[in-house]
Amino acid sequence: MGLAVYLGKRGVRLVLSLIAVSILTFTLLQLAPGNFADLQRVNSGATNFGGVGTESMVGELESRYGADVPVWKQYLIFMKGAVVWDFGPSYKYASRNVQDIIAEAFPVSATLALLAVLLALLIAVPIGVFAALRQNTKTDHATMFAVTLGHALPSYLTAAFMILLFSATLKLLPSGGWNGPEDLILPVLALSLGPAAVLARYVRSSMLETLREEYVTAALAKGGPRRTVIIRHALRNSLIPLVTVAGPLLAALMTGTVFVEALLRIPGLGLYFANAAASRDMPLLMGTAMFFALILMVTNLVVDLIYGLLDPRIRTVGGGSHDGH
Amino acid sequence: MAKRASSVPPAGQTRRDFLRLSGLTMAAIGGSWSLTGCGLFGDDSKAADGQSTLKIDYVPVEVLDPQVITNGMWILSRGISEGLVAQNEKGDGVLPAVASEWKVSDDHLTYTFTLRDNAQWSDGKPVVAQDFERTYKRLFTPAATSAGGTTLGANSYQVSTGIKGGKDFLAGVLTDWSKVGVKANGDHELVLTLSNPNPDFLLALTHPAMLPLPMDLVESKPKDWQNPPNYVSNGPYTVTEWVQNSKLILVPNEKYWDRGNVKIGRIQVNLVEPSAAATATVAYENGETDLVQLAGPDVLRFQKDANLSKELQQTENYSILYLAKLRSQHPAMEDVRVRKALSLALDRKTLAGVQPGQEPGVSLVTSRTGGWDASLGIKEDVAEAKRLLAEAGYPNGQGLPPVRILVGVPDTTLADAMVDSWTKQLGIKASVDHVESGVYTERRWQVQKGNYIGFYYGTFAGLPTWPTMVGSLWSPKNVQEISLPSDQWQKYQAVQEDKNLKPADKTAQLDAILAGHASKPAREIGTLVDKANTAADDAKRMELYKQAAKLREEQYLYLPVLWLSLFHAVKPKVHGLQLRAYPDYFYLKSLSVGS
Repeated sequence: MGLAVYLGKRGVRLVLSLIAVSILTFTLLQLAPGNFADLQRVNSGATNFGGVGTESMVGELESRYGADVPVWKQYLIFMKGAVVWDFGPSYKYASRNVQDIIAEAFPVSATLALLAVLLALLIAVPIGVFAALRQNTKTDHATMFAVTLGHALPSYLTAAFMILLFSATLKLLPSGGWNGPEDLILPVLALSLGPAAVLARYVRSSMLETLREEYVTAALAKGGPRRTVIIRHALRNSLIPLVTVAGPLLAALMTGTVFVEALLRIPGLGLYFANAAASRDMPLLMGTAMFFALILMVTNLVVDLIYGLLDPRIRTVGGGSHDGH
Repeated sequence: MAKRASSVPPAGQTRRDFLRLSGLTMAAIGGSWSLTGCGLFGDDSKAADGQSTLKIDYVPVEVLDPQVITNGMWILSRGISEGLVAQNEKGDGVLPAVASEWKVSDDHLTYTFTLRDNAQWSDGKPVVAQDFERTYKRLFTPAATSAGGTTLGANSYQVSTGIKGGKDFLAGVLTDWSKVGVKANGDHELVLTLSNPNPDFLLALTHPAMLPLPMDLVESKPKDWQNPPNYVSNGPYTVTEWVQNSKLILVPNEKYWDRGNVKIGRIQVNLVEPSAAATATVAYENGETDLVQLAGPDVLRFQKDANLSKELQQTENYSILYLAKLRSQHPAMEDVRVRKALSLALDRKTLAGVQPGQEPGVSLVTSRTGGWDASLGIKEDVAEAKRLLAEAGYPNGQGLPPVRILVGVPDTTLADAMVDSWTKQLGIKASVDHVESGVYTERRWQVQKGNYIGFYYGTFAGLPTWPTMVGSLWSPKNVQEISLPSDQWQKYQAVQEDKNLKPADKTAQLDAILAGHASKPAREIGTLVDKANTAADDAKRMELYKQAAKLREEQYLYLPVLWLSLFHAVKPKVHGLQLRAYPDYFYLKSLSVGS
């Protein structure tokens, strides 16, 4: 019962947040200068060639929104469709519905994000443990310096370096595109380094904390092999807090790979989102923004639930606040 | 603390169970992904054994409808769709395409095309005259009332094409289709009638707007006709796969009437964001693409490299870089002497040296236009420019607000150079106002507040013919609009945006404002172009166009700055490339791939 109530409350909060996101996005879009039709004329063929016509040649946004439909009503029409997962056709990609674009492009971004977080974990855990076990030695400092550097490097810069190294110089990998598994390597590498650095720091500090716990001291005092104690007692428990970091990281990657996708010519959702904003494509921008918000909130919810499962001490009805005991 | 117990997960779901379950779920997700692995990357169809493959780079294609202005229309005219006629190798005349022959009436108003009887759509249906009539009806139907029409964006029809009644039907002024000059007689004869003689008419028919569409399909699948496997074409190639923001896969249209001359088995068109252009040459040098358009810095690098320079191809004098006057509350730029001074003081020769392949753009009409002569060109003169500025009341620029150049494209190199030119030669204050493209589209039509004066920055390209250069690019109407005083311009815009006005009333009111308040020379340009369009002989016509062009230059409302070249890098294995100075750049049909 408690869980149901808790989920219900979170559900209501989620819906309210989505409405807020939609209103905010819509308002900001209305306030932004320029409109879709004018931008199309400037940014596509017309700049290269004389697109001269009569007034009525600039199309009306008619598919759902008649020429004379006031702005607030456009919003309501859009939201009415959004409730049943029908965002209508995109302005820019006029032959496709926004929900079809999301269905096509999200798996691409999600695959990259999952693989990147997975790789990040594979890099971060050994590094974090390694550094923690050698706390305050030169090796520890050197590792953490490298990690901070990795954290500070934005993913698009990493991607650019990798293109230069692996494609331009070594000619080992394609510099971009989306034709086969080999095209996954550069984006996943570029996307994973930052998260790996973040996670490594968490692993290190969490590991240090666990190593000081009495049960670790006790296990060691009982004469258990150091290796076994570290892996079975310390490492397992110190990985729990990682869930709270890895979850949102995953969500952020699934929704925010705009630069890497553009640089490596990957047809993911981030690219659509950026293009929608730049071209004032209302349905596509609204659809993607709300979808991103949904992904973030659902991920956070799942993280909270998993956290509760992994560590019985923090199961509280309060949900997000872990200070209930 | 009692609360805590109540939130324990349902029975049986212990932590270990959960971990096991989530592991299984992940494996299942991974499995389903790997099963649909090819779906993730598209169909991944490879060319059949022994067939050649070509990879070319292009910008993203959002729609494959040639009746809407998008980049998609220029890939269609390269050889996915085929019009009545196609451009010849140089781009200055036409060759038969779907039409095998045509007759022109003595008054140059009626064109009768005979369609070849073996022209077919890729689904095997014949291409008939009705296809063209129905396609053009869709083209001329205003968006707001069309059923399956061009839902969004700007209609791509070029008004200067001059089909009788086309412009009025599109404006909603004319609603009787039988009065529009498009008529199919039987399956193989199409008659197009013009409102005025247009020596460029056949070339104008090579514009994507005039390409035929499979109207049965467009009408039966209004939302889905562009998406493979639905897509049907009538040109040498057809589209089998389209991954948005990634690639377009073309294969020969097996039903094409000239199939024997289509030589490439598979063409992969990489859809590359302009923002990724900086890495485009990496892909080229890494063998991921065989043909790519180059940006300035890469051109320099290619020119200096012994091997790469052989793969560089230039299309000279492709487009023109110009400045257009911004409207402002401040009166300075309303004085033609100020505008003229700014044009005379642009050091075009130095500007041309900033990037490869540029020439001083001394007139709006490009020198490629037949009959062009230097008398049309601006003669730079800094002393005269200073004198004009002083005469206008701004000696040495004193009292003149900073002159701005409004730029909405990412690269401001040339605009910066212009500012430099003015500051050095005239000693005036000037600056580049670099804005996001949405801000640019809105602001360039506004009346600027306070002492904000200057120009917006743009590029244009078009057919190197007089009707296009004078009648269509910076058309008489554009010149009249830009010559309106600020208050009248605001009224004009209000009428344009008035949704309650009937089309005919709107057109009438707008024309009235132009007739009453556009500058006298601007109206005279319109009269000259009208006379030229109906002139009896070619010599007289050119003379009138030249007069109009000269008068337009003297208004200094649009300042020509540079004539720009295009550069492509082409792998040696690509044969038969015929670059033309037209926005589709080349046709696919003539291409083949060797070893």
